[in-house]
Amino acid sequence: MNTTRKDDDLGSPEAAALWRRARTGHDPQGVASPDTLTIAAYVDGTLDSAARDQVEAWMASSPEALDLVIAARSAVAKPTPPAPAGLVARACRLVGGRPVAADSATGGVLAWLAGLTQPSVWAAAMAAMLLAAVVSFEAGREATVTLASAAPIQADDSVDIVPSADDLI
Amino acid sequence: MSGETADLDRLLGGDKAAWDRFVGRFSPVIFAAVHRRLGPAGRGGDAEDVAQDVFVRLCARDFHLLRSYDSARARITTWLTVIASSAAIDHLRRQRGYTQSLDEVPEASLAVDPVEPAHLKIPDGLLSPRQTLVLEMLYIRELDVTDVAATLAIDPQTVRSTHHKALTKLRAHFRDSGD
Repeated sequence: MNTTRKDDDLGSPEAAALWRRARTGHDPQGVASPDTLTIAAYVDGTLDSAARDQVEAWMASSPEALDLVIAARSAVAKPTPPAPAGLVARACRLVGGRPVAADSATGGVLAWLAGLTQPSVWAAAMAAMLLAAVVSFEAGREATVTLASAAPIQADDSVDIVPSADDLI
Repeated sequence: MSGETADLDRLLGGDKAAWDRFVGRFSPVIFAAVHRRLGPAGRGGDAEDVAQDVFVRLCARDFHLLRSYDSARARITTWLTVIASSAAIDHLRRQRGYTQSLDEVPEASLAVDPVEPAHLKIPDGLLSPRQTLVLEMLYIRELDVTDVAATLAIDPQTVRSTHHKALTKLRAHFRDSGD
């Protein structure tokens, strides 16, 4: 087998020991974290050499930074299977209420008006209004009773939000 | 603006249908990135919730995070993958903090390096960031040359030559400093 001197070095115990010895004095806290767009550009391979050096210095300084780039590089390189339908439905609901069906031919105001014609929508609205009225009435009645029976507030009842100097010592 | 992001303006303008299309198009990317990081750690069951958190972050505060995306700087699939991978790593870190007792930590993580560390510091600029990273990946992370090359998107032979140049500098430095 024809190996060069540099291949013999790679992975040798002597080389590993040399690096462990050299990295003792590293100060990883001094490396600023790049933003997500810069990391993405690094993964895309579109950074100039100066920006690339900054990202690689950050990767060398932090195991989690290196993990992130390895994970992103690996994920980008592989095909993506479909996401679970439950995730898609939940994510769609984050914006603007009910999700719009991908195959729906109608939408907007017409879809909204069509929704109002459903008896279940009206029944749910009436039930919510009735519940709100009962809760409001009960809350008001209890507040009146509590205020009427409460003792005057004394200075000793106050809560210390800021600790005293003695507590801090 | 590329075809991937042609819908973003409508989405950021509050178009519900555009958001739904965004979710339909990119949820596989986000879910896959999260699952690939959580699965090997035995937390694949959390992937759906973590992916949902990514969508929450994207649309929070009137799409603040999504508005920061710049199609001129990176592909949106790559950017979303970075965000999703970061969310998965954060999730694992939090889970470790909450659930891992000292008894569960592998011994290797607790072991004290048997080699007494020399209190030497490499002068700034002695090694380039890439040389430092290559040595770190090879000797601390114990990745092989192929994995290092894939992570840095360079040829394996470039990894070898980078390694060789770095070691040459280190040996010269320690020789000159008399250690």
